[in-house]
Amino acid sequence: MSCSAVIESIRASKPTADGFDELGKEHTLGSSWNSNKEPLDSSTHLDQLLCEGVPFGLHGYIYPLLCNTPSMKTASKLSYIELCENSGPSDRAIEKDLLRALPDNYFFRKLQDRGVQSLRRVLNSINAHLPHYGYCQGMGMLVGYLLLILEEEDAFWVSVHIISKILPEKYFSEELIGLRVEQKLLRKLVKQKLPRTDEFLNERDVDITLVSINWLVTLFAGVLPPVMVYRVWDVMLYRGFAAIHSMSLFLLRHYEDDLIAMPFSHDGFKFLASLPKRIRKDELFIDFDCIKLKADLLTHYRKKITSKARQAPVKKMIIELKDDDLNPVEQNFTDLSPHLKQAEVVLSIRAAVDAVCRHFDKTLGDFLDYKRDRSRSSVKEIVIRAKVLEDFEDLDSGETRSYTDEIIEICDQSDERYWLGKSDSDGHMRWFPSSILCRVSFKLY
Amino acid sequence: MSSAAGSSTPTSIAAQKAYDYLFKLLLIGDSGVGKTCLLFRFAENSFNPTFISTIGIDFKIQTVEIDGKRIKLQVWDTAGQERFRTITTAYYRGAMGILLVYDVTSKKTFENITNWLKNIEEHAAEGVEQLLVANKCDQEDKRVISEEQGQLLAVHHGIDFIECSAMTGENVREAFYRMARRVKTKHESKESAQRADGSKSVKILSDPGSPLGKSLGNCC
Repeated sequence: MSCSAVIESIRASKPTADGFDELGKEHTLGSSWNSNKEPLDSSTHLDQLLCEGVPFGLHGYIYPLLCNTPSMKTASKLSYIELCENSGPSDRAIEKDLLRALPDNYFFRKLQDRGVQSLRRVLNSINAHLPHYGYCQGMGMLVGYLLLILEEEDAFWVSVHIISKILPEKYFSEELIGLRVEQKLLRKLVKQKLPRTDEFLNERDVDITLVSINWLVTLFAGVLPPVMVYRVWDVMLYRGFAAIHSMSLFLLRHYEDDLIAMPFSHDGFKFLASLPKRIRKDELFIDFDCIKLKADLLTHYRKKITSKARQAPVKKMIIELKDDDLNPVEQNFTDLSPHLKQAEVVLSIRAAVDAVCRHFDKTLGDFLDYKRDRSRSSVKEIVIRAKVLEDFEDLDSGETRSYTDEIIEICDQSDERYWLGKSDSDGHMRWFPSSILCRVSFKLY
Repeated sequence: MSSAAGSSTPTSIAAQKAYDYLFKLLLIGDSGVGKTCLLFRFAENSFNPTFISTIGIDFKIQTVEIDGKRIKLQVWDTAGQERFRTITTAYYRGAMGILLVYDVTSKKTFENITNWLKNIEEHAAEGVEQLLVANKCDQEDKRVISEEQGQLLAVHHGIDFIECSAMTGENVREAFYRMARRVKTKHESKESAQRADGSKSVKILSDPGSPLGKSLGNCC
């Protein structure tokens, strides 16, 4: 039986006074689905049904179908049970949040409660299954809400599907890059689709990201009443993340007149924060198409935002150079003994070089990597040459050497008075008094 | 003055008269140290051990009276998890006081204070008032960080220190009042310095670029 057919047949069934018959029917339908494992039918009809609202008891059957969990299970090397066993000791950050995910729910109040136990297993298994994502606060709420309507194993697979397939890239990553991109994307959408709101936000300097972060991190679970959370997720599972933006825009659009009538920015801000609560009070029907969002428009914006973000570090790097780095620190070396003084001078030069390196976002080591240069055979070495001005006495034998007007190659000038040189004419290495040498131009070999 | 002040309606006048100063304070610290509980104790004077973990940022308003001045405190509560830092640090700007919270029963949260101080240095305004707050001091049997250790760290960084418990309520009011008093003193001395300069004093209590910044200018 197809997904749409199930929703329709449920809708057709009349709810009885006590609701038991209806519930019973749902269960039989559910089991027929499970045995069927038919891949999801994709149609505008299903989309329409989902947007109109799925009967409350049905989410649990529809979610695994929408996510195609049977194929996820076959594709995975490990079963959920094995993942649970392999996930190792519980993550500390997860432990901290277990009682803070759904504290008002009967099953999530104490550590030994059933819901909390499941939540711990699912979160740690997600961690094991998607190791490069890591645990992010907000996932707890997502999984918690799924556990209320699904079996633990299905809740796990649906969560994995949402995190890895529905959410934009790097959404819950270490730096929350994806999430921040979506924050900017929402602001851009407001600018384009709701110019009056945009003007209000700009004029009053109201920062919508303060409010929207909660909407986005929890996919509205942190703000909307549960029934409405599932309404949003129904559509999200089918249409993808665009549904979340549609929801945000719907809220803003619906209350636009009220918002821009706010006399002060803090009233406006408070009003914005209260929007999800208001929609419950006003018993609103969520219209996911009140503002049409095309998938390619979102992709286009995302690309634009990320390419901008990629350039950002350069700007940041320059800002990070503090005044202290540029202003020479006044130091008094006069009353230090010579070697201390020398060390101090060297240190301050080092600090200056360091500041320059930091300016170019490199560490001193990278900047002055002598070792790498020396090992590279292709690097041209600078050869110093000098002209011999007069004859001189050989250091060892005392004989007079006549190299006057010859050009020699200086091999070592570490000693102040005698430099080691190689004569071009006879190829011999000798010590030359530096006083009779005159350096000629550099030549590269 | 900001454009918002020009459109003063009767409500705005009432709002303006309700307080003498408006200060923005910030609560930071590791996840689970009890920032939200502290704020809840201060604002509502009650305790709830299980709050939903703060996702992103949240804030509460509480008005206090110090030396005859009514001070409206806008206290911002932030998410503690490491990965939210890039988001929460954006809201440091414009904060006049920052409460750094750690949990006396967790060594890690105490050690991380150094990192939080670095964040302040990088993202908050220079000279922002800071207060090191040790929370959960009622749990003596689980305590791993002594009062002396906290005190020492605070002295080392030249900031104020207080131990309190959101659960029992001990010292919580004191922490926020102390912070408010410090910000007030600093603000007033700056103000009088401005007056001495001969410049016409206009109370702009937050940098105009900060979120909600324009509303903050409306207090006088």
